[in-house]
Amino acid sequence: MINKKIAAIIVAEGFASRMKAFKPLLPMGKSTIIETAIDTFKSVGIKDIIIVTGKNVEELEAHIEQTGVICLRSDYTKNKMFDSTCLALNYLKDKCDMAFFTPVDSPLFTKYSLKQMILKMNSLNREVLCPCYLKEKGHPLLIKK
Amino acid sequence: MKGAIRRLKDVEITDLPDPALIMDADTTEGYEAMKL
Repeated sequence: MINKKIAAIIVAEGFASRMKAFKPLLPMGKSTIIETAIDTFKSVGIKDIIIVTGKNVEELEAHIEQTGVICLRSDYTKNKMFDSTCLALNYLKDKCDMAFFTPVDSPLFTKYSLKQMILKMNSLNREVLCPCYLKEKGHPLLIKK
Repeated sequence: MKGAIRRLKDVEITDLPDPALIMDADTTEGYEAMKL
């Protein structure tokens, strides 16, 4: 399925001011929101999964330490999601050919969608592939090196 | 974040039959909808 080096970035650093809860650890099926996203990326063979952490960093890192992901700490009191994304992209520079990107609160994308996006990106001469459902743009994005 | 997507350049859009692509837990209502 994958003949290029593909990574994934999950940004999980924010305040969640509207949700009033720590979103990465909210229950989702038999696991949590963040584990759901991690497992789906792993299901298509992605091994390099970067989690950008911030708020509740110790609790989050302890929760996912058995998953083999790489955690990068972002100063969530100063940084916005764009800064956290740049932190992860800079870390991945020269380590992969393309990377999926999603905020942690959009974890339900399917293995099928990831596969279709990889196939399409391999045939494109574009920098970013954005998935769309019924004309509404969503996540994860696929960003070429 | 969806505003940020709109500002990206050199973006290809791909239609997929996956409603989860546009679901998020940004609000309590969004989270509850995801659990259904």
